[in-house]
Amino acid sequence: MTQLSKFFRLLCLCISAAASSASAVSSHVPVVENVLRNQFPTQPVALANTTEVLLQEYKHTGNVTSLIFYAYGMLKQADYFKTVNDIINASEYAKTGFFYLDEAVDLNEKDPRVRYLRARVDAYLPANLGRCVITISDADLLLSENNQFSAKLLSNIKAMYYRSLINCGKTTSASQFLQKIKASDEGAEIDITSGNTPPWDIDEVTNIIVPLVKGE
Amino acid sequence: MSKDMIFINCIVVFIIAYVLLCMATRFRDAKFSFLNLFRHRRRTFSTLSAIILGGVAIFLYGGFINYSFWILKEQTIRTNIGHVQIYNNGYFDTANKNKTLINNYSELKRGILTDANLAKDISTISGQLEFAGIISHYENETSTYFSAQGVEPLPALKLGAFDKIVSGSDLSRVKHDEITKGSGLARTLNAQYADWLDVMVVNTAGGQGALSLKVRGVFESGIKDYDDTSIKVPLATAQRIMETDGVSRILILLNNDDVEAFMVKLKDYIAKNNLPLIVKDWKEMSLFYQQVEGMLSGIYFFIKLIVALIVVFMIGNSMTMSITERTREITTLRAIGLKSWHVTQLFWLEGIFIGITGALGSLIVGYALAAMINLYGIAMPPSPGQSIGYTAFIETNNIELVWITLVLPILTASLASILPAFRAARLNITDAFKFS
Repeated sequence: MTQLSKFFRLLCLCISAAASSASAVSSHVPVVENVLRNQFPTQPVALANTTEVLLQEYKHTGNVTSLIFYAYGMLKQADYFKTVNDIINASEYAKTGFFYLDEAVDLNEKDPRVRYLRARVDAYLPANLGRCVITISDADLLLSENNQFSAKLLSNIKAMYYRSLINCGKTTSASQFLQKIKASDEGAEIDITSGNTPPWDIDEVTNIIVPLVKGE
Repeated sequence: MSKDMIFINCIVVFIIAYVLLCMATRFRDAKFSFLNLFRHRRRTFSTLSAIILGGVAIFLYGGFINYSFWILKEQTIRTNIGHVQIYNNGYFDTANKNKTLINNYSELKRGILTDANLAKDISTISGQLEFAGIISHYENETSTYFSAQGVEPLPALKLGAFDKIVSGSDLSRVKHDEITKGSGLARTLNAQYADWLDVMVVNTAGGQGALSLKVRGVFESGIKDYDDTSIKVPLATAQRIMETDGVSRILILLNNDDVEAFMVKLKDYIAKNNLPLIVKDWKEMSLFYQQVEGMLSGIYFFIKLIVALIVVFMIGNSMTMSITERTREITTLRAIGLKSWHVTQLFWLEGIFIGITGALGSLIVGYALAAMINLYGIAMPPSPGQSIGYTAFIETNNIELVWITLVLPILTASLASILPAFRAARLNITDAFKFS
């Protein structure tokens, strides 16, 4: 799942401090902000508690960021259960995580930022989970609304789209897409060797996460 | 515990009590018998090796079988079967299942969940509406029959936890016109994620129902027949197309494995409220599990029998050799006044000590090998009628298995040494002195 770098933690801290001081309004989603600042706990019990609190926060505030982070938490727990060969819990938690991630999009169909947050998870999952078809659909939609995203975010979406085409076995489409990207930008390169979700970048934080946290 | 197990446990308790009694009252005899194990180390080692080999085989195969039973059980329960199912009491008497629906599902669910005695055992409860019909993908000009389950999306995540999504996602609480379908059916229809399908059914009133539904995901349970025909539809949509508020059955997933106790409580609840319902457990509804369990249990019993025979013959042979080699020693003991029962006791104790050492060795070696195997597991091919294999592990935390691994070597070694011990005691002193 999402691995936040130390740099990102510092970045988030600065951004959230700046955002909160600028608006001078108390946060609606303190648990999400806490996760953004300190990452998800690595201890299973603490992770379970944080995830549960995120759900309570969503029920209390209705902020979609809490729901998305709850889904992230469930997926992280599924990951943990998989490492200890607890296949029942791994399966249940993964299904629940994806269920709420999808529900966040279904409830906010017209918000491309929520779709972006789903695609960001799905694009870096193993191909056998079958989520690539959803990412292709999401990325297609996001690219068609390209005026809403910065150049860096568009580049990220293109990378997600390319990865998903590869994961879905659509290698011809993937090559054509890569050629198209290179034709428009000669220096463009997409790294598909890394299986991990990349650290959040400043564009994602300022254009997607912070506005969603603030309920904009 | 079965009567056989009680009988076997009684014998083992008797043997252990006897050894403890000897150690308390005749410590020198016990010590003498134990030290005799080291007199001919090679023979003792070969006997112990045979016992440990047998014990380890029982431990590993037993652990493998237990894990296989467990995974098969969970796969059965979590492929939309649940631990317990509630049906209308006429459900199994008629072919027309539409006539035997549970009509007051919401009220019944609320009633069960407000009963504290029942609710504390329930992990999730969900109604399920079964129906069948024809499904078409007009773009590809393909149609086929299907068997549908109307399920509640959120409880279905637990009840269908072993239905692996291979493309797309599970059912949604928001998108009521989106369905998931089995991988075999997806291949037949050549329908992908986000394709629209048309469904035609005969509803509960005997009329026709039709609906266009979007593919949200493709699942694979590993059970081929199920994957070839099944679709899952949100319960509300299924009820709409079938023009009913009822459900075919109610599935209950427990948060423990004490199904029998829960069934008793649920039957009491049904009787107390005069409900026209019957209760079935998961095992009754899964013929496949019963067949596989029967077959694997038979194989396991056969292995235990072979191991027991090997141990009996090895111990018997070892003790007989020991008696032959120690004929002079036995006759000397008899000549200085030892009673024949005393000699019997010495040899029997020796056999028991070999059994105990072998049992402990079996457990230690068994645990070590199981830990090594469990690092990566064993990739198993699909079972008959299934399309997906599984990774098997050795279950080592089963008390019954640990007990049988300990008991079998002790029991067989003790029984196998009785006859040689008696033979040693019956040696004629004058004839035996002539033995060289």
